[in-house]
Amino acid sequence: MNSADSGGRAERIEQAVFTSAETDRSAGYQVVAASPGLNEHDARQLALWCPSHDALLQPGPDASSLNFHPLPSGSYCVSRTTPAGWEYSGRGGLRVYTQCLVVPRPVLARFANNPFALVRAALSKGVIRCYQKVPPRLERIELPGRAAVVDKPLLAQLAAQLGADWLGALVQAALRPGRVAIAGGPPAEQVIAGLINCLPVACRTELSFSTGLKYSSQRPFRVVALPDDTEEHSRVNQQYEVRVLRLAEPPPAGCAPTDPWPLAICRVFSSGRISSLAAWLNSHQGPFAPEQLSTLAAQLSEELQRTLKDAGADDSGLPSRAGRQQAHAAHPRFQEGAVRAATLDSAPPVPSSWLKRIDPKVLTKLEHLDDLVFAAIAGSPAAMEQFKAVWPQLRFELDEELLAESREQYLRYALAIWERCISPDGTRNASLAIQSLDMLCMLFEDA
Amino acid sequence: MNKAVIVPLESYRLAEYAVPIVCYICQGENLHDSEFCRYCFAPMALAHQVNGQKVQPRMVAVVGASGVGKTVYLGMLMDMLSRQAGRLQLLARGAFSITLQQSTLASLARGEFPEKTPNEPDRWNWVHCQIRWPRLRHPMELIMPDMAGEAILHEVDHPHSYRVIRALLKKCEGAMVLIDGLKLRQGAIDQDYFTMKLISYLGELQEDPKESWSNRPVAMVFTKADQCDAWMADPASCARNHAPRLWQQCRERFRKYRFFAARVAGYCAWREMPGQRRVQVPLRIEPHGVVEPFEWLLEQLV
Repeated sequence: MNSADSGGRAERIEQAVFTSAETDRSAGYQVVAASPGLNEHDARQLALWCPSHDALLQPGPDASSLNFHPLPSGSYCVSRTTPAGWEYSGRGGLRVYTQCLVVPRPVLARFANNPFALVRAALSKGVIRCYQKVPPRLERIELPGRAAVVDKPLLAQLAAQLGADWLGALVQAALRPGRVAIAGGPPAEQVIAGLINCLPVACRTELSFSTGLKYSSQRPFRVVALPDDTEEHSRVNQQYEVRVLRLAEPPPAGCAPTDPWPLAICRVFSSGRISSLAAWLNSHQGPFAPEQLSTLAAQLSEELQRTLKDAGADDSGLPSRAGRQQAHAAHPRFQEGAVRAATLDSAPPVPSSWLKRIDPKVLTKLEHLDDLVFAAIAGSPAAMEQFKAVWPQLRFELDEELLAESREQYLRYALAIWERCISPDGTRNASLAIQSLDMLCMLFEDA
Repeated sequence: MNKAVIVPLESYRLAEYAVPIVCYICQGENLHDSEFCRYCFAPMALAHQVNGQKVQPRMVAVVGASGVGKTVYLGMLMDMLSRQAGRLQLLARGAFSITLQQSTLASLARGEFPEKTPNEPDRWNWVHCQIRWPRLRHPMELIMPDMAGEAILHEVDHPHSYRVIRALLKKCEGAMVLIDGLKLRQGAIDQDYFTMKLISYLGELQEDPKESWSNRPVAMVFTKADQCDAWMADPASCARNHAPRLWQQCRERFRKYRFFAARVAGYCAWREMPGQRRVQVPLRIEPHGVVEPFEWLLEQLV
């Protein structure tokens, strides 16, 4: 076997479907189909980890859960659980359907060890789907592409919803031993995705999670979601020694971040320097020993301090208006002293452009544009009107390169908003979609 | 100004945690306030109840493939035995022991069969009951779980994957093996093979020949006999004709076994629901042959 073959194999994703069906082997919940290369030990583990009847937290046909856990072979299982029609046996109830992707380490690494990014890519390629009649043999998957180390719009949104203290507390709870359950606040999928984004790339695979499954001792996920039910919180906390974080309430005193990395994350969010975090994480993707996390946290804090100082922050740590970066961080390359995050999914920038200093007037205009666009996409008619008024002038004044990057960030933000605006009954807010589309049409006109 | 306050030192609470509670099923040590065993996920209520009594409960397994009717059978058995006084009587011990009976009967009353039992052991229903019977000098404590068929098959195929099933089957003094009579009559061989696998698994479970399953009573119950009268009339002959491999295995592996047939629904039909798959509905509830296998098993245990 030559190295090219072994390399190709390492890049292939095996898959399996776990659901309730009647097959030649047995009836009920089982691995009903798998791709030919699925390891026997992995298949057994999938049968133990995958959820069965009535395991989804949310009732109804639109519930879903994204799950992530390690496998004996060293690969990782990234799975998506959804209801899929009715139980085959005619006993009533919805059939729970889980598609598992067995992802080798190198492939997950391409997606910055972020299962959410991998699932997004798989969904967009159409390889995650629900078969009404599952074929007995599934194909291996090849998933090209890569992902940015940090989803900045997501972090910006979470920072606005939860605040720096909660994010620091979440990171601390996730990094300490023991299991964590989150309840209330923003959707669990969003919170856990944000949590992953706050961790160094090498740490991310340690965090097994499910975003929408009922709690079960059979599935020892590190991070789980719970329904907004205080009795259930107490039960899970007492019986299973799971730390429950109620995100709709202020963070309790005992949860305040004290460990170096969560403290550094807290500082990042309180100063609005998400781009600095992204740049730093991007340049520190290599493996490290767990005890080195404190050293890395110190380095991140130093970097943050330096960036704040360069940007003209006052002694309190808050940057001045001119140097302050917006939470959504549309323009990371234009902060003084900050090295642009060489994100994996973007073309390598011209080195000279990293160092060029931006005119403070232009920076102010960009920030103003950011404010208007984000407010308009969020549904503010006043911001939309103001945007219509200033956009022709700004488009004329701003550099083409700056505009292109801004457009890209706005598009990503709009898509992120669209993906996360599903109401509990599964419907999307049409007016929000129209507002976003209007904005994008104006932004990309003549682009 | 410092204000003096009295803070009670409830150190006895710490002492409670220092004494482990042993799971009745797997013997794993747990904290005194655990709801489920941390090793096998069996309810710790069983251990607490056992600790408070002199007589150790005995255990009977109700096993079978997925969809064979374990939940309906157990729920109906409990309901029937809890109603009759004088003869064989069942008294549930602990509120958790009534859930199975309650949910099964509620479903049947709505004209539905109960939903599937989940694979996760911490979501199974367990029955701890007291059996009163004129033939017993003292009431017998009995534990019977309603396990998911998929989990049983997984453990049979891959031993040690479900600790609770292995530990339970080791301790059980008898078993009721449920087989889908309707499927057997239709010529499906999966029931036959599943039961053979299970029997083989039981045979390999105990190393000590004295404790082997060949000496324990096993009731082979053909379920869904409402749709095949011949099963009710002579289940042993039907087993010989329709499941010869199973019949042969039983003869070779067990000393105490008997074939039974049971039904809960008088007749079943399929209901087409708009936008949904077909749902099977019991048209009337006419339990027949439900108590007999259990009664036979008790006779063997006495």
